[in-house]
Amino acid sequence: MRWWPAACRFGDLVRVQTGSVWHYGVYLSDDEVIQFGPPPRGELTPPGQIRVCSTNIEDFAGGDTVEVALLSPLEKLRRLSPKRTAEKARARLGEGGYDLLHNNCEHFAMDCVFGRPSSGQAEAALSVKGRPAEVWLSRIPETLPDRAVVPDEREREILETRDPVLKRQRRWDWEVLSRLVQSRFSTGLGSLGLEKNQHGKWVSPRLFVSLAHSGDWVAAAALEEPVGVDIELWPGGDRAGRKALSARMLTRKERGRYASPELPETLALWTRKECLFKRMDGSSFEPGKIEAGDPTVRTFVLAGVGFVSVSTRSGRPVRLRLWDGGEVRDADVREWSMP
Amino acid sequence: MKADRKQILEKLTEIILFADETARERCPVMDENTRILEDLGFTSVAMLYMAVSIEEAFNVRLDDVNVWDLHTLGDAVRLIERKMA
Repeated sequence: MRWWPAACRFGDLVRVQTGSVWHYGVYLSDDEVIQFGPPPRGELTPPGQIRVCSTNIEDFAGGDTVEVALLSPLEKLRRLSPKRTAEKARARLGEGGYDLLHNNCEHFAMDCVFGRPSSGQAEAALSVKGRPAEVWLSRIPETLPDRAVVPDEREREILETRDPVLKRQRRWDWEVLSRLVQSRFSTGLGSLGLEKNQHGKWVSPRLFVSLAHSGDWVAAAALEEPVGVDIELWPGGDRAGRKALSARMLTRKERGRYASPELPETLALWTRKECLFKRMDGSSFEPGKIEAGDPTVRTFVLAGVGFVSVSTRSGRPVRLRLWDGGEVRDADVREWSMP
Repeated sequence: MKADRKQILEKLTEIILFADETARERCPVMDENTRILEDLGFTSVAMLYMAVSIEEAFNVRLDDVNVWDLHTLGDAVRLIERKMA
């Protein structure tokens, strides 16, 4: 299909560009455009509150140009009748279950018009499986930027942190995330609608983010698919202490395999379990129940520093980048494999 | 070993200060409202060490407990109290 800023007619599939994404709807009249959630502008609605709703064409457009789908002859044959499209759209008013990649406004509009949900935008995002997931690492500088971060909730969180090490980590990992998002998606953190979910994890209806810190290092990831990242520096601790840790953190299967893991293995396994937990968005971290051997995880040794592990839902390759506050370059790492 | 909440908290504080003597500077008053992450800066790995120390200090087993669900020293005190009962 092609898109054109033509006059809208009853039953038309319409869209409007908001930032780097398109927002879709079904036009029934100037007073009735049915959409799955409002256009993602300004303050974003949390995914759990997004509903199929009706608006007028001005609000849908938000000052931008509305485009109408110009269907090919075959598409015209395939589509539902405008009357049936209207019935379907109206019947779904109030519906929730929004999911950025699997049940978004485009899926909704396509389902109403063609009887089958689909999203070219989501498919494009998911098709990046072959493209490496970029994760940024950065060492916390001596002097941190003296400016408030967005959203306000994060700034408050940082101000309320009493531990000075954690305070610096939080301020810098947010700075790294901000630069990463700007670099990769040409947008600011303010447009992502970031908020904390019930498990204390930062979520956005537009991207999946993950943060980690250890000592004076931070790691940040922002992708179109669920991601978890963890970094651990070499700690101290005696061998007896490490044995006790291993006993507690390993699954039954792992205990059989790693009878007495050395420190490097223990740390590597730990980062793998944490990044998996972060990606899967669980409510409670139980390392003894997470298998470190999950194939979606990639683990790297950051020379002289420690381990970094990254898990993406697709299990795609990972590219670690080092940001020193100015330039970004590839990090000097080697991949670590499960024994 | 029986202990009341005050004694448990004192012992917990000792464990923390033994592990990190600078904790007192960052958090001069450690009470049951002290947040393990935000106020004491405990990482997830540090929680593991704390669990092992608690087991040794209080002679309890925490195998069936998810220590990462502990958010304040009060949560830890209540857990230890329960295990010692």
